[in-house]
Amino acid sequence: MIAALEPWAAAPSYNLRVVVLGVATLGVTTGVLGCFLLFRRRSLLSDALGHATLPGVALAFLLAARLGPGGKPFLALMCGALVTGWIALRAVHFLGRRTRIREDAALACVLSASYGLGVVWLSVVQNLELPHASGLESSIYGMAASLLLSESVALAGISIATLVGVGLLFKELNALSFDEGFVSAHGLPHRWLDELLMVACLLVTIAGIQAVGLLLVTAMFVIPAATARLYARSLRGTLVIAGAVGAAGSVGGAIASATVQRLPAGAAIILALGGLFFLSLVLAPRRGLAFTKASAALRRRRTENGQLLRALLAAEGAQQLALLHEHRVGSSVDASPAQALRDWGWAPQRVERAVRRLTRSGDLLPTNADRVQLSYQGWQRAVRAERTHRLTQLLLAKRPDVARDALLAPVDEIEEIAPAGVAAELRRTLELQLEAELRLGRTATGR
Amino acid sequence: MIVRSDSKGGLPPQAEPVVDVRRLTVCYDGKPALWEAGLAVPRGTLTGVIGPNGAGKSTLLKALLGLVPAATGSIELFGKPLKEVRRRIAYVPQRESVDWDYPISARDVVAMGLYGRVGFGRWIGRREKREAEAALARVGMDELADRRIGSLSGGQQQRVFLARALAQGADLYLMDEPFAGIDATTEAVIVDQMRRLRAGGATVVCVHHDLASARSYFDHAVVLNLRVVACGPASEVLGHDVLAECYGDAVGWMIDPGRLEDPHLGCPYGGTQPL
Repeated sequence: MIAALEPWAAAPSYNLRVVVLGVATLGVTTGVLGCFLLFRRRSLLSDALGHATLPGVALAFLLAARLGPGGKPFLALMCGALVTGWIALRAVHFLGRRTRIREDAALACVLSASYGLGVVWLSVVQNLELPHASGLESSIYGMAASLLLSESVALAGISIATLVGVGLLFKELNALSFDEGFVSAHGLPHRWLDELLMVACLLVTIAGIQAVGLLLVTAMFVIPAATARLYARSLRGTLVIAGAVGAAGSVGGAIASATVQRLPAGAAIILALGGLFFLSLVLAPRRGLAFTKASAALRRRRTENGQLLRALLAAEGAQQLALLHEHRVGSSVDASPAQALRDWGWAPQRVERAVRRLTRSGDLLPTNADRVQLSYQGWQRAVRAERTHRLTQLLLAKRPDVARDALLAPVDEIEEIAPAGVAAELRRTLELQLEAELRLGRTATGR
Repeated sequence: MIVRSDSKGGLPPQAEPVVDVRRLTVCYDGKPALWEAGLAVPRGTLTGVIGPNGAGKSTLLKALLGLVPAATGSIELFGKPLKEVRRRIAYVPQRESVDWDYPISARDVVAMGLYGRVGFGRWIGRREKREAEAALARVGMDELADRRIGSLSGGQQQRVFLARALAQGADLYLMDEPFAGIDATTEAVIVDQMRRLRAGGATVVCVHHDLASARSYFDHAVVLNLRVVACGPASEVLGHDVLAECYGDAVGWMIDPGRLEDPHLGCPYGGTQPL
């Protein structure tokens, strides 16, 4: 890490600063636009646009070499890319809207056809052995490490203009991404918005080609957006995180490429982005794989503990007294957990595991072979679990819409899941129920 | 009563209809989804659009909103073309029409109803958020304002959509199957809000598939089956002969005709006449 930062810290070369400026702004913008592509299920559009610029680049190179003043014809290549990219965009729209071909198929057709055309023209150009043909190579594979200041400033300009546009149209884009029908029914100009978004993608794709090349530019759109989806709870959050991931990956890749000899910048940037994505996939809170696995296991253990404690409490009998007055009658009763849980559908191994866990935590006291007693602490926990279980049942009857979400999150007290004001009422209802049960002399198991 | 497709279905001549559709034909891929439909919805009614699957109910709503192009025919809303009155119309789409995995809170969805008012280039502010919360409170969802839309139940999602339309403060509400697949609480909330809207002078047009409850929910009805089979007060239109024409023989199987004779049987909201 330190070594990677060395050229930056020790000798902040002019060239590297130029490169970082260019790719950082580009990374932010591709990340932000990528989110909209992702929400609109058009992630492949950036890929199609990237490939579709190749014929334009090749043709523009040919024309510039024959007619132009020579040198690296940056502007001409960009204009060529813009023209064929635009044609591809129109073609995708036309095929998707006016014919029976679905948008994904339309994208695939345009992508491969235009790339084929580009390869043909490219071979023609290369056979002519014109000077500066390496400019073409840079369009295909990207040359982030050799960005000129003018190119870098152009990248930054396009990026900033796009971000300002997104900021101004934030709420319209939010509505468009969530509910397109609403936007058009509401009289907001949704065709126009969509068009604007696609043109922005085209411009940024062309800008990105200089950095990472037309084959990999799609990754700069898709990967940051997919990463941000793992964290964010709002559109604003998604955009901010995607922008940050895009910038971090781009800068990291560019620095790595400047440090390690012969490491192409485009590939380094994509690999850095991919690394961030996989890290997030595993480690992201709430949606990461590690988190979901761990929380599922924790939930299972807590549910099992509660059920075992409640089953043993039921085996002691006199639940009403316990729940109403914290009065313990059956303190000397020892029970076989396997027997107590016979009706709960537990496999023997599961019973054993739960008993071991609760013995370790001091809630169960093993008496003789296969039989256990609730310790005082375990009894208290069991009473609380049973009470909360019954309150949850009442809540489910009273407010089914609220209680449904709560069922999978084991809670200690009903207040955690019941709406304000309802919990106290539920507790009163439960008391009345228990007193009635006592009067009837029922020994309800309360399952 | 059966009306011809070009008449203004059983409307007193002095009342100017909110929705006036004449000889409307809508086609998908050259096949008609609506055929020479003519109907009028009087102001201040709860109008049910009733008909079997594929009858063109949703298509009618989408045509009213300009979401699908009309092949022929004319649509007037408040006596004007759609473009001039768009802001006065609120739309509650079918639940299936959006991406429920989208990262947005219930409050922000409802705030979308206020977008038309906020104007271009501005973000929604604290005032809009408060208004969105008030709209959520009207459908009993204020506790869940911060929840991600995808984590809500189907009925709650439907109520969020309703709250978005309420926040808009429109004069005409177009709802596409709001009663499909929801819980009893949500059903009661929607019926209650529809009646409040009518009491406030608004008009509600609601696509509905369930014949048994239609007479109790709506005071006006349009029976569709590709064409308009009947249009008028619900008590007249939702008679057995009209429904038999619309649904064919299936109607005897779908609702017991004896129940239709007695409006107080099988109607959870107490009779059909004044709702």
